[in-house]
Amino acid sequence: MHLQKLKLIWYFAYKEILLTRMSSLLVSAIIACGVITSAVTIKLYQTMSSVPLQDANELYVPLVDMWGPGGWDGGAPPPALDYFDAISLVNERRARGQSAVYQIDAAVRSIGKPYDRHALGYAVSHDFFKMFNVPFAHGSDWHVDGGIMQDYEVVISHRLAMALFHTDNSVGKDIAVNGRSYQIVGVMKDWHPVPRVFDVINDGGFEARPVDFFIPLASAVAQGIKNSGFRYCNSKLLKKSFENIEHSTCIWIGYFVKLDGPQEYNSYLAYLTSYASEQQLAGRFTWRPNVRLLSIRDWLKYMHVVPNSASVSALVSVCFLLICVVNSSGILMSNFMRRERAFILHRALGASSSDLRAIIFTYAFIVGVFGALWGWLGLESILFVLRRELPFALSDKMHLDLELLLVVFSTSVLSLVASAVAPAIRCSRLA
Amino acid sequence: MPGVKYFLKSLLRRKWFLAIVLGQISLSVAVMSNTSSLIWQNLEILRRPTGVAEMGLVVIEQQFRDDGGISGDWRKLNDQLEASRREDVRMLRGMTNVKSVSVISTLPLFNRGVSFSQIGTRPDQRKGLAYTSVDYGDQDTVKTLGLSLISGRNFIQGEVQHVKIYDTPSPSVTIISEHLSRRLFGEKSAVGRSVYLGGESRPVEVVGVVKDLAGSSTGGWVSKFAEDTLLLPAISNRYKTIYAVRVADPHEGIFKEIVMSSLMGLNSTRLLDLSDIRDYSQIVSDARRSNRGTLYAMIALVAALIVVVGGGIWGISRSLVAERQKTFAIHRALGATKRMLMLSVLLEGFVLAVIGIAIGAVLSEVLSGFLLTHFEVEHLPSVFVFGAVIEVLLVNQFAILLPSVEASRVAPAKLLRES
Repeated sequence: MHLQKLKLIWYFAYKEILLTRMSSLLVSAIIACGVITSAVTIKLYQTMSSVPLQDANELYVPLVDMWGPGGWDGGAPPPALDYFDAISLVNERRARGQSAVYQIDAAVRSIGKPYDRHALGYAVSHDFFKMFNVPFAHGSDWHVDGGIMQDYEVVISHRLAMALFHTDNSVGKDIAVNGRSYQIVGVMKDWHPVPRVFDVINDGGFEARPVDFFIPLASAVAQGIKNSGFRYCNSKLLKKSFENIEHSTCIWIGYFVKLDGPQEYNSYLAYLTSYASEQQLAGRFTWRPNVRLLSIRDWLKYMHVVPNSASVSALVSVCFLLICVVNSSGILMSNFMRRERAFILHRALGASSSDLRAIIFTYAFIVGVFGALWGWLGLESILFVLRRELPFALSDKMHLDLELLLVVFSTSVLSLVASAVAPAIRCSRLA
Repeated sequence: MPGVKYFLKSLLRRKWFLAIVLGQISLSVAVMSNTSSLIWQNLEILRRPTGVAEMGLVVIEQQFRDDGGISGDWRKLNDQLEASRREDVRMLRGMTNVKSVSVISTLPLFNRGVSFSQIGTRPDQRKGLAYTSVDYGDQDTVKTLGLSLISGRNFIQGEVQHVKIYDTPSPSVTIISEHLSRRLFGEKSAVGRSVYLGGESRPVEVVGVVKDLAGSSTGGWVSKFAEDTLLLPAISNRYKTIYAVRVADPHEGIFKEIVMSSLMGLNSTRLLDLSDIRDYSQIVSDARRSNRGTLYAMIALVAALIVVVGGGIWGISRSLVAERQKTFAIHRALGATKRMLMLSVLLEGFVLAVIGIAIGAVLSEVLSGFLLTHFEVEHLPSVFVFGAVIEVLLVNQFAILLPSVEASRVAPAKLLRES
């Protein structure tokens, strides 16, 4: 009996679609339009604003004002550290983990080969790998912190290993970085965090070139490898050679710490303040301590990593989807009004008003599935175009994964069911 | 006009349709105003001139190899880098298709070698400093890039500073963009005046002003002073050296291959790939890719919106008219003219649209306020809300034009036939 009824509902819903072929097609297309735009813009926004790290909540960016009032915009401390402060903070090791980071544009080659290749790397401290969950395919990070011992050891990417040695496992081999020999201690798996949270200062976080290697900060400094990216000075350099950058107040080093819980946050903030007052006492700073300790999320906001257009277009497309829902609701409404007599006949032949509602919602569900199919096809093609147009780092993430597909499917069906609510209520009032 | 009153009454009886039309119109105003503002912003960025004559400029981005042996002795390294660079420039200048060559640190929209500095008009200024993007070049930069000098003069030979490796350039003259000139000196001429860089007390004299010179960084947090740029005459001895080359015939097909092989012929250990030799127009186009993408996407969204909303309103008013054919026929029989019927339908739509728009204007303000507080997006200028109101009204009136004509065509005789 129950099954019989269900069958009848399906049958009538199916009949409805056949009878209103064109407008059903139109409704599914309209909903698909709305779903596609929302899915694309939200996916883009989500990718740009995500923090691609497991324990992102434990990472913080300390900033210390070494320039004094008026040095940086709006009285905030400059957005990076100078050499002196970065090294002092690294050496005092007051956080659970800490790493200074600077970008290197180097020439690398395997020992014995005559030709160099361009490689993008970073000089980092030992804790970096654990803090940013760098995945290793072979080997591991270097063992002794470069802050104390100068080990010429390097961690390279899978890509660089393949390019230099044609084999993935090149641990133990040597490469030359800017002419100095470094021993490979680890090979990373493919690792492309988007946005590149540890280097948003250089290319807004969406740097196209992949990371090829990491070397110890101390070795990089000892070898005199300059940073390739951002450097900003508020005064003239004093001495010649690389040393002058070390002794200047030029800012060029990114700094990250790992802290667990509000208690550690508070004590680290207190430590930063006391560090700044010590500098004031020592005569380096002639102003009161001005420090910040930003969570990684606040840091990305502070640096405007997500462009305005990404958030505006995401919100606007959701509104567009709403318009589509309201719109198809109107179309369905006039459809069913034209079919009023048929519904009255159903009622006369013994269908309850809830049965009529069921028919309409079943109808909406089927059309919604069609809409989802349109949406899927449309989305595949739009993403295909986007992947060719976007910068590499982003395009890599713009794939139609199962999650997105489920979202498209459910939004499309839900939107159609939502737009069928008004007609359903109206029709069930028929007597 | 009793007809109008009647229509409004009949409209209130169709609450669902009322809600649907109002909902659509108000949401469209909110969407339309925000998308138009995005379109306008991106158009603005795309139309912003770089100041460079983009056609026929080729950029070579190469890096001399760091020979491990001499990097300890910076003097030797310095001399070697300088010799290599001079050799390159001499060779490039000698090529048949080449008009001029300049050694540069960065270019407008280049996104590499981005450098900027504080700038002030008084020595040791600490408060009220402006920021500025800095490019380094030589006496051939203005000519090679095709910058248009609107007052003052170009750099002369003796002014170009030759900076040793690891040193920071400190030239004593500069050419600034008109934008920066206006920001620092207002309408007065900047030529002959001094600026102070990085809070230093050493004056840098402005010798020339160029019409446009866009900054090298396109996005993020430095875009605030994207057009406040200055050019300093200095060539540094560096591993990475960038050459800008003005060519006579931009269409010579194998120019890049010839440059590549000639440069490798001079020094085969350098880092240079064919992909490092690029047309400047390509660089500009790549840098503006995301702006163009946003622009097209938003235009497509507006088009879709117009089709969907216009079509929706058309459909609804058509069925409303069809449903009331009997009423219209009675009206006609009682003496209403065709014109009156048409106008009453149009008016009905207009009244609805105005109510919807009022809600929509509030909604877009709310939306914009939400964006302001949660995403730090600037406040939506009211001109866009106003523009959106006009657009939506037009779409609405066009959509109900046909149905209103249909309404006016209802013949009084219809009554007879129906009964």
